[in-house]
Amino acid sequence: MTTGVVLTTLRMHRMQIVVTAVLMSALVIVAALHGSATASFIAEQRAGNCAATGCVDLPQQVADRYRLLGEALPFLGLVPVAIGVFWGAPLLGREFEAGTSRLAWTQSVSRRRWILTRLIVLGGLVAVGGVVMGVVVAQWLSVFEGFELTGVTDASFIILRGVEPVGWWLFGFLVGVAAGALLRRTVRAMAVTAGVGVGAIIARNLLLVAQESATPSTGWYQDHLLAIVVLGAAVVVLSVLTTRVVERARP
Amino acid sequence: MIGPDRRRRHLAVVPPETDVPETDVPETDVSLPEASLQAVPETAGLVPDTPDQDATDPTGPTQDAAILTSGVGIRYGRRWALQGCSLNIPRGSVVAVVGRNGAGKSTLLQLLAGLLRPDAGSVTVLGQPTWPPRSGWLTQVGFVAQDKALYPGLRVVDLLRFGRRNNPGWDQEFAQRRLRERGVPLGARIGKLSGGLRTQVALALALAKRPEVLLLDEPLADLDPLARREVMSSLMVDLMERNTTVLFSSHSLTDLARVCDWLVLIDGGQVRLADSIDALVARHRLLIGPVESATRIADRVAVVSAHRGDRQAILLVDGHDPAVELDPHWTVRQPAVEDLVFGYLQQVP
Repeated sequence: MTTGVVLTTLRMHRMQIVVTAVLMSALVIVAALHGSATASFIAEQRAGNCAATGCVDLPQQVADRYRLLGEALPFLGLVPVAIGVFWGAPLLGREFEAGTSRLAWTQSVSRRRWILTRLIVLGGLVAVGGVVMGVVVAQWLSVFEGFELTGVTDASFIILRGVEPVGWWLFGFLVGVAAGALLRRTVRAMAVTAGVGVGAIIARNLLLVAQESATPSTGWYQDHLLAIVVLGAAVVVLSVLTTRVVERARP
Repeated sequence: MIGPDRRRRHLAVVPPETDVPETDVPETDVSLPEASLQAVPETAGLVPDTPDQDATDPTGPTQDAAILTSGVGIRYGRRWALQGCSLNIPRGSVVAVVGRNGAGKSTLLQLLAGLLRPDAGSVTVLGQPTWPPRSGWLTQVGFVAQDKALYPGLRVVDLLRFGRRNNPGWDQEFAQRRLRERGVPLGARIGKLSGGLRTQVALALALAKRPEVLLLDEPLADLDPLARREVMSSLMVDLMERNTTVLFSSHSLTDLARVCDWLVLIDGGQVRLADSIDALVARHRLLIGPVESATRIADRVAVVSAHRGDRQAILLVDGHDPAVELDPHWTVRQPAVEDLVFGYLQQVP
């Protein structure tokens, strides 16, 4: 039975899972290719074999290779919002809207188990996605360490690397689920999720800027910790809220 | 005890399917000018007390009750969609839930399916409260919603897998056979199926769960007359053996009268009748006689509703009075189920 509920969850959200997996794989491949190419270029230059090719201004060359990456990476910050919009909002919004909640809740599975299975299974997959993104971005940027580049030596990509993306992905997902539970309409829930998600990311960046100017390049990890605690608390609160709404909702 | 033989009798007795007439003229030989017929509101004193009180007394014997509700109410905002609903339906009953559109039929069925939390009163189905619905109880209750909403992106086979994965008592072989026999392509997407075939899928999904109580909200609405008949008889054959309790809702009684042995009539969110059809028919009388003496007669009996034409009047009365029945100008008939339903729906509370 439990397996059945898990398999049903995976089947019902197959589209989101497949699309996200494909996009994340593409990110991993691009990062691996670009990262390893850049790393071997830097290693070659540093080894002093520049006689053959003609010695170049290494920091300038690296900065050129980094430019596009540096411009593209901030957009990855919006991935958790997309997770909320496409994974979270339809989870309940679509059930209510289409009336399939009546079908779902008259199977031999209690509502509590029904929603908790979805939150745990899909939340688990979302967390994996967040981990992959955090590791990939951290590895990618580590290639450029030692060069004075935006995002490499400062905190501007803090929400993209390490453990923080996990928090953002889960936060986005649960904002979407909770919006679907409360609004009962997919498109409305998507819009609210996008608004809340983007708003939260802007707030996070404003906080970063404020802290940077107060204590430049210190408090990095403390700030990371604070964000994780805040996002974690939000995830717990939204999960509890969603579960209670589902347990009491009219179909 | 209502057993399978009663159902079989109902199946056999009923005449071929005909449309229910708009008015409740009981027999064609009653020569009343139809145009002049109109429901006459009775004065309050003549309207009997809600006749289902003793039949649904929640303190009565509960051992065999499949469905037991007491003073249940469901509120949408300030409006009560269902109010003061008390039912005591024995196991194995085949129940017709009838009433106008918006009378509260869907609300009642969803309440019994554990989809709605009662705002007043108590509900038990199979001896357990319906709210909050627990998985062990959900296993025993099948439900088909009025809109037959199924996941449109899934194929029929996916939906059967969904049923198997979410119900411990699932009968896969039965579900496949039932759908194949009715020409439902198992590989087709739900969204591409016609309304009739979607109904068949929804029914198979609820039946293959092998429930003890089956709640079907307007199950026949999207079916053509032939399919209606087929669905009703196949349901009866299948459920008879299991002593399953079935509730059908419908706004057209024709399809249900043939097979049902119980009647729940809802009007304006209130249960007006709830009893076995045999008991209801035995309790009521249709009195047909000259309109001049109708008032005199009506004073002596509990009139549910009355039709008065130019010359003749038809009264549906609760209970019978030998004195009236001996009156040579008046004909007494046993009402058909249709007469009861239309009579009570025209009654002004």
